[in-house]
Amino acid sequence: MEISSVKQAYAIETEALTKYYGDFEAVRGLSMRVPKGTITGFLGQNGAGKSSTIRMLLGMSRPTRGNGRVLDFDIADEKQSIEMRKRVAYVAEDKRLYDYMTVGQMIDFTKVFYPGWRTEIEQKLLDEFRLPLDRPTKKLSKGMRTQLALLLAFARGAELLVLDEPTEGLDPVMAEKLLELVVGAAADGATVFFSSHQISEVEQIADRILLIDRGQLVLDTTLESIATDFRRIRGVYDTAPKPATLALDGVQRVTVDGRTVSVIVTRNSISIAERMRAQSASAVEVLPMTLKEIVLESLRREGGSGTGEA
Amino acid sequence: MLYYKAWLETRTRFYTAVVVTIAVCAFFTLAHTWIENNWQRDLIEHPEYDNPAWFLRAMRDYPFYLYHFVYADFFQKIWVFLAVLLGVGGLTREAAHGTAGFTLSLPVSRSRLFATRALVAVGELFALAVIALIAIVLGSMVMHLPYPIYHGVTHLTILFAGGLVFLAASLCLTEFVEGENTPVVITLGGVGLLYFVMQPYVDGAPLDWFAVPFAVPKLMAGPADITGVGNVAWLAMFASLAAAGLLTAVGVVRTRRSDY
Amino acid sequence: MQLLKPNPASGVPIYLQLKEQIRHACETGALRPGDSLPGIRALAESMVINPNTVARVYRELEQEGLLELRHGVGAFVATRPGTSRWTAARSGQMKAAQKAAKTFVQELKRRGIGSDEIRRLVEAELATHDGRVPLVG
Repeated sequence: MEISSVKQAYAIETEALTKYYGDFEAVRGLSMRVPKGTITGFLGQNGAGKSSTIRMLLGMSRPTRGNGRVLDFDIADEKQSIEMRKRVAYVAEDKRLYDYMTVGQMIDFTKVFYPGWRTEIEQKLLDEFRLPLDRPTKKLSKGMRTQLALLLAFARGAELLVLDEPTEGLDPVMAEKLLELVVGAAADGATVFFSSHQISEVEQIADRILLIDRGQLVLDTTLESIATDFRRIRGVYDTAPKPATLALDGVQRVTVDGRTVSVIVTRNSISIAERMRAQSASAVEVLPMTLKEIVLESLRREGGSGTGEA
Repeated sequence: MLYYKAWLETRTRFYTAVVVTIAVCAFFTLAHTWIENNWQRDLIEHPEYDNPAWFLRAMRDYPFYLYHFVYADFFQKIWVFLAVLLGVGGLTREAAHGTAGFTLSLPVSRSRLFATRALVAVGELFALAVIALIAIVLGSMVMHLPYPIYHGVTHLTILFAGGLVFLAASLCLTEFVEGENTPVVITLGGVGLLYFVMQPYVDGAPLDWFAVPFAVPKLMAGPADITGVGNVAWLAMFASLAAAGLLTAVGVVRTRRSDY
Repeated sequence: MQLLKPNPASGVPIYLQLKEQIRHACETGALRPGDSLPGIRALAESMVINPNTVARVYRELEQEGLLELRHGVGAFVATRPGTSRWTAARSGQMKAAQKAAKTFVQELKRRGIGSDEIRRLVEAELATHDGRVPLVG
């Protein structure tokens, strides 16, 4: 049926999800949808609400308002949340493990909870990382601890991987290895939702990005849109145009700097450029923007005569 | 597997508790003759020393001697400390350790997490009681001191029941207080205070009305003379178990409603 | 077969870079008709890029006649007669394009325009033309 197939198309769905810690509103009316089978990068500054959101999705904290579904299970219902967690692998930023267990004990402990456990992945990663089974986790180096945490996550055969700053503190080789594992899991059909500060990693493997700022979603788009539609258009004017004349569909921000006007657009760059030429702007250039530029642009607080359209 | 985790988590503490238990029980049994001789010598050489009522009786009545030193006083305090030690753990403590995220992402309910932890702790406490009994009985046999087993069984059952109250308090408090060791310190501080206040009553003073709910230490000492198994304050014991149950329930509610 | 890892920050979408690389490999003969390409998963893992991107590239190249996707077996360079004509025509075009590029760069340099400026001009021009470039073949 049409409706149910649409419903099951999203690995994560939230509606006006809100979280207050005392008086502080950490997450404000967050509404987002993460399609199944995609790799989504969750970007935002520290304290913007990424971890708070993830904690609500996984049942670690309760939303103040709003609702959410993960793999079609209601996050606010404990029974459903437990069912959901059988199919989800979470790697926290900390990646710390029980220091009273050995490597082997951690694996034996974890695999019991996941009916979809993939022994071949467990074996492959054990061999690749050369993790000693009888070494206590507290005696592992930070790198090996991370490797164990990754093994425990990727061997679960999960439908959804939620990773909070997964490459934080990792050397470049390990970081690339992690991305490789992510890509492998995605090729197996898993959905990946990872928060990161490393924009280059997100650019490398993500299908979509969500940018959160001060608890609110400010950008929700695909990497493809960014490559094909997001543009920075610059033109030189003899007399600065009134901002209202450039309040066109697709314009996100207009900045005037002397005689140069910069327009950030999310689509319709061609018609907007033509409008500028029609306004007698000279040297009109349409330039692509990197993800980093777009993120920084979206997070700017001060700014020129922004039209505020996202 | 959660039982396995709780066991591994408390294993070192448990082994320490076993060693302490055996040491204390062994000491009071094996050293009985030695203590006895010291007392005899003191009676003769130092007639000016105070001789409290229990002292004279302990010298000739072995079960009473055990009652005084083990069940009512010295070992009881250690017992309470061990019970508190075994109850420490839980999600709030894990949050301080950084592993709460991992545990909470497991597909298990918070009630189950709490329950397995509690059951393992109760099992360990029970094992300690059995070990104490064995140590006392064996120690007595080695010293050729006749000791009726029902005396030990009754007293240790009472100690176990009382210990459950402190275990429950520990299980509960560690869910409220953040940090690694703070819950232990607080619980022990509270317990120390309790014992300080209750000491005169344990020594024989009649219970004032306001001390009744806190009379667990006196309760755990049990009656000085046990002639049979029935000779126990059953009502008070059930009240203690109810208190333990209540504290446990509070702990469960707390862990279910917390944000991590 | 050597495929370089795409550069995410180059301004050219990853999927385009990959497409170009495969086309280039076909033109230079590194890939000949009938050769097999890595599976989607294997290629995604070795390049550490999104498997959806690889899938898309393979699909589009199949539509353009360059690749053949055999269900359950993998991706192969197409052996249909049209393909050889296609690659031959394309090689010819590429040679002409290389000549045009050489002339263009030499001319601009002669006018004193620096490399970075040339790059910017070309990118700006491409960006403006996005979506309007006709598919070859």
